Amino acid sequence: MRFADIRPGPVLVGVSHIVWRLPGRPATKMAEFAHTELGSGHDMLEACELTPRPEMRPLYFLHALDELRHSRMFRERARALAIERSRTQAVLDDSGYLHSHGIRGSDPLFTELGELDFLAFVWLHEQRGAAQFGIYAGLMDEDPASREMFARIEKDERFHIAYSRKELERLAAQGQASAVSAAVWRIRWRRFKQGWLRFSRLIGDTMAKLWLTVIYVVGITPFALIAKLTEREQGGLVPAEVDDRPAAQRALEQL
Amino acid sequence: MSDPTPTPPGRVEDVGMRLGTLGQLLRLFGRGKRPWLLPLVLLLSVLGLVLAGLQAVQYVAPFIYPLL
Amino acid sequence: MSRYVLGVSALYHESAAVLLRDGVVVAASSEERFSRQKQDSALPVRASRWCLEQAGISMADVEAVVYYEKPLRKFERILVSQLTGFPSTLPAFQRTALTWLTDKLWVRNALCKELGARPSQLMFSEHHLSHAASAFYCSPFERAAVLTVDGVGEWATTSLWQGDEHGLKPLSEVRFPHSLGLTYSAFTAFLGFRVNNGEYKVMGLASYGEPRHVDKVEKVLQGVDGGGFQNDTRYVAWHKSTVRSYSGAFEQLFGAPRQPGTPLDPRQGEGKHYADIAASVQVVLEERLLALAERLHADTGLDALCMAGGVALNVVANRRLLRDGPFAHLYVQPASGDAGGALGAAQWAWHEVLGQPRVDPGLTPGLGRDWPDDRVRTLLDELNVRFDDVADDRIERAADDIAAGKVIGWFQGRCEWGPRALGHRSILADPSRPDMQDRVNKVIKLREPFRPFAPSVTAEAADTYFDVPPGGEGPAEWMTIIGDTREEHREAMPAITHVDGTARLHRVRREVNPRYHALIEAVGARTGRPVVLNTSFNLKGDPIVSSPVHALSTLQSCEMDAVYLGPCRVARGQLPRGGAS
Repeated sequence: MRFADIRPGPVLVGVSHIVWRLPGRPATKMAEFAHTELGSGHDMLEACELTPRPEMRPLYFLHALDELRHSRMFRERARALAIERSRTQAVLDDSGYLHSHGIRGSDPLFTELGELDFLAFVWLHEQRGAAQFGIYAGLMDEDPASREMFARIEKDERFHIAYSRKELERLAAQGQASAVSAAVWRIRWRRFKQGWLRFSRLIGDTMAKLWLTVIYVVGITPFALIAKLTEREQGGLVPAEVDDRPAAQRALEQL
Repeated sequence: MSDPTPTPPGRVEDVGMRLGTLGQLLRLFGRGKRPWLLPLVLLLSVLGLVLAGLQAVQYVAPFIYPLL
Repeated sequence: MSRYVLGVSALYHESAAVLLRDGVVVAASSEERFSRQKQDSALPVRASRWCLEQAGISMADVEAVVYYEKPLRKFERILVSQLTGFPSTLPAFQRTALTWLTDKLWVRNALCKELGARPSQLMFSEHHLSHAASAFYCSPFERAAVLTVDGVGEWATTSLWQGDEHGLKPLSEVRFPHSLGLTYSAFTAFLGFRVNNGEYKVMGLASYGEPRHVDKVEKVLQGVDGGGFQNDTRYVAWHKSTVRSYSGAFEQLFGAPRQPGTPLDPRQGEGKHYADIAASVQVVLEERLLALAERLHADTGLDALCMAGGVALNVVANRRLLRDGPFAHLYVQPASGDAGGALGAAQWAWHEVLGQPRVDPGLTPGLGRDWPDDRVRTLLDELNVRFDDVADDRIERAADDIAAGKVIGWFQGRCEWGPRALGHRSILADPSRPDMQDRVNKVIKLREPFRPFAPSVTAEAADTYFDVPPGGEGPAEWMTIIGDTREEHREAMPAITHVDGTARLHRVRREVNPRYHALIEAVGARTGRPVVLNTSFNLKGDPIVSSPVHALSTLQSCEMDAVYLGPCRVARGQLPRGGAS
């Protein structure tokens, strides 16, 4: 099978040119990368623990160390570039970032995908990362520190691409070519599906917020007035409400 | 060791549980100190069920939203 | 046949799962120890699964899965708050209604779908009841007054209880929006720290300041007759907003808030001003807690107090309560935050729903993941990590390292339950070296230089070096109280003595953690003092490490000298370098 490298498309190049020139955006982007690299680092550490193939363990471990180091580098760079410090810090401090952006689920990625698909994921994902970071490095004419950082990270990504590709090629050569090919396509399909689901969620959230805004503006006024008239924000200690129901009955209800 | 892998509830059971939760929610407001909030809670409950339904068909949801 | 109850806390702060077997804790862990997301609030899927694996059972063998609060009552409170705040609550309404309608309202479904529970297994406790149960049923007292204080649960923010042979009886409570926990969090945000994470930094900062702004803080939070308190809601915003906790009036009162991430020198200039504010809010918090304790004592006539809820992690206030309050004995549930709600929910169900008598719950510091020695050796071999096998002399080697001024990671036995490192996943050093606080803060933990470290000391030597108020020995075993470093030893142990002469003491008993106790004794044999600097084995922003690969990645990421992973010593130079290198 052919292991074609991913090349950056014109859309990615064009969008990157715009995004990285927006005021304050480089710091936020760096903060977001700090999260994604951290997530990748944890994915790799989990793979390192979970793989049934001892020969893969050190490779996953080295990969994890790289990703965790990249996360720290992005974090430091985000702080250095921050124009609005509290906004950048808020992104850096968002401990739920990976969950809320659908980057990490409740199960380890390795468990979710299995070893073969995981390797295909690493190979494709790292290629995209290297392509992306290569573009970003080229945009950093006025920021040599960031340019150097991206170049260093890109070098690490090349190693990640190389080991995952080598492993996939080895498996393909062992008569598993169709399984490897299928795994690569499954990961491409997964990426497309996840993109579509993110789009779906975005549309859903926007529509729901629209409906909620209508409810708030049009429908809520009378209830708000009653609430303002009847609700007392009574301070101090008040007697606890004693629930007379037996504990066994209370336990079954959510109210 | 027994198998710790969870068995997710079926679609019918899932809907049943959601309706059960809404029943309890309406009971909380109906019998509690704030019965005047019941219409609003009912409205939000319907919205909640619609959103839950759309989450269940999230792959086609972007095509359904414009119809609502 | 054994009976099992699984307690679950989730969706707000730190999620956790706790498994009881016949009322005894067999496994307990926060989800963050698996997901590596600090204070992960997602459903504790992996922690629950691990608890079941640890006990060798499946979900079908569990009698009850107990969620730690009543979600619908919480929804009621949020809805009512947003109505009373109309029309300024639109952004909060959009945000909270969306998350509730799509997610939080359907906890039953999530518990079944994600954890594999059957609907018939599900039970729901109440937020403060869960905290109260965790405090009372883990305490050594047959009868006790119970005080639970946090940000907010369903409606209650503070609850007073009496616990005895009949169970827990609610006495009185303070309700939202009046909240000690949210007040402290508002000041945490104002001082530039992260809410629900930086509160202990405010406590540390307070020691550098003078309480010059008590009158202003009391405008925000006033005591009222009968031991309670109330907030002036003009100064706060937590009842109207999901992103802001204080109002413009608050800023007019205290000046400009500190920008997060900016350098902070609490000894001078602006830093001193913020330290004074921290000192003031700490004093007011202590006064309010003392008033609540007086009321609780008057209502119950008991001499023992149990505490839980996030505010119970304020170790400075706990000392004040014991020293100046009416109770002779104090027990603080060590995982007092929301993670501990999982423990209390399970205990409440076991004792009060299933009607089982009290048992010793077997709460020890190490209830989390374990790594047997041979697995650690195999793992290191497979990772091509060079190591010294120190199985037979790990105590002596580690003591040598510490006495030589090295900073080591100590990864032994099961991971800790609760937020404190208690000698299972700790970074250790010699506290007598003048540069040690700076070194560990700046180049190892990568955190603010003003923050103090805790000492671990053998129980036998604790009184020689530290002064803990009578009744504080128990809390000191869990690092839930401070003591004074004795005057004559302060200069000799600068790294663990805070600026005000206090120390967040960890008193180690041989029968609780024999290996750690032996290590501290061995250090004492070399340095003359059986005391070590103990801080959690993690970097700033990370959860405490729970597996060897986390420990190794931490070693690679900072300037620690070595880690003791079970029977293996890995020095910094023995780690492989990064991939491309």
